[in-house]
Amino acid sequence: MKSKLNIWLLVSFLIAGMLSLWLYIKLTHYVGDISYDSAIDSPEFKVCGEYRTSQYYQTGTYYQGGKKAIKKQLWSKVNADGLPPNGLFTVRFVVNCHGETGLFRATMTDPDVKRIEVPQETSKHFADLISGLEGWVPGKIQGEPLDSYIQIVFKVENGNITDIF
Amino acid sequence: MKMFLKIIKIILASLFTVYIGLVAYELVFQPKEKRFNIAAGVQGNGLSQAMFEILNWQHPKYSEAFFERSVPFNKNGDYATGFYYLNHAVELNPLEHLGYRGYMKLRFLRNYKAALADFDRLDAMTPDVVDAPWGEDIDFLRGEAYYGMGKYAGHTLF
Repeated sequence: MKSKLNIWLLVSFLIAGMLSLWLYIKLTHYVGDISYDSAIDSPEFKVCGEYRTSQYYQTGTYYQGGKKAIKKQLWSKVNADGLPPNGLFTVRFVVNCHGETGLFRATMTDPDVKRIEVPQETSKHFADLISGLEGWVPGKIQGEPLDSYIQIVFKVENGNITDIF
Repeated sequence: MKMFLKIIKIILASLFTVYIGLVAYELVFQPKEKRFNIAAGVQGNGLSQAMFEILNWQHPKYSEAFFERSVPFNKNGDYATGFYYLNHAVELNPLEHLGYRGYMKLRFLRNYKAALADFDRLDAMTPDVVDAPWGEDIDFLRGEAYYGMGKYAGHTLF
C-alpha cells in the first residue's frame, strides 16, 4: 500500500512537472520569434527590453512615407542576383524602440508558396540594404515606444525584382 | 507522524492528478469549439499552435482549425507554413475559405493571377450571391487583381 502511494505520488509529480515545463515552453514562444544568433547578428544591435517583442500590427510600427517610401529607397539598389528566379523573398527583422533594425531573417517561397533555399550571402546582402533604411518609427503601446517585428517582401519574377512591399 | 506524512502524500498526489486531468481536459477532451475559441484567443502563441495541432489530429475534417492555425504564420511572413495549413482548409471546405485565401494571395502575396482564380472559383460556386471575402466586395477585389496584372480596361462587367 505504502509503495503504491509512493509510486502514485512520484508518477503524478513527474507528469505534472513535465506538463508544466511543456506549458511554460509553449506559452513563452510565439510564431515568428527570432533569437539572437552570434554567428549572423550584429552585436551592436540591442533590443530595448526584456519583454516579448510585439508584432508591427499590434503596435503600429511604420516607415516614414509608408511602403512606397521603402520601395523608392530600395528600388535602385536591389537586384535579384543570387535569388531563385521566381517567388517571394521575405526579410523579417526587429525595429527596436529607437527605430534601429536588426536580427534579420530571410526566407523564400516559390510561386506555389513552398519554401526554397536562398544562399546566406544573398540574405546578408538584403539585410545590409534594409539596415540602410533610416525612417523607422517604432511601435508604441500606451505612448511607450517598444521593440517589434516587421517584414519586407521582395517579389521576384523571371529573375527580376518586380515589387517591394 | 507516519499518518501525517501519508495524508500529505495523498493530498499532493491528488493535487497533481487533478492538475493533470484539468490540463488534459482543456487540451484534449473538452468540445472542439471551446478549444478552438481558446486557441484563437491567443493567436500566434505556442500553446495556441499546440492546441490547433491536437485539434487537427483529432478532427482532420475540421477546416476552421486549419484555417485559424494558418493565420499567425501568414501575418508574420512565414507564407510557406501559413499556406500549407490554409490550402488544407480550402481543400476541406472551399466555400468557407476560398475567399480568405484569395484575399491573402491578393494583399499579402500580390499574386494577382492566383488571387483571381480563387475569387472566380468562389463566385462560380455561389451564382446568386455577391461574395465578400474578408468583408470586401468580391468584384472590387477582382478589379484590384486585374489592376495588379496591368489589365486596366474591359473588366467592368461584374
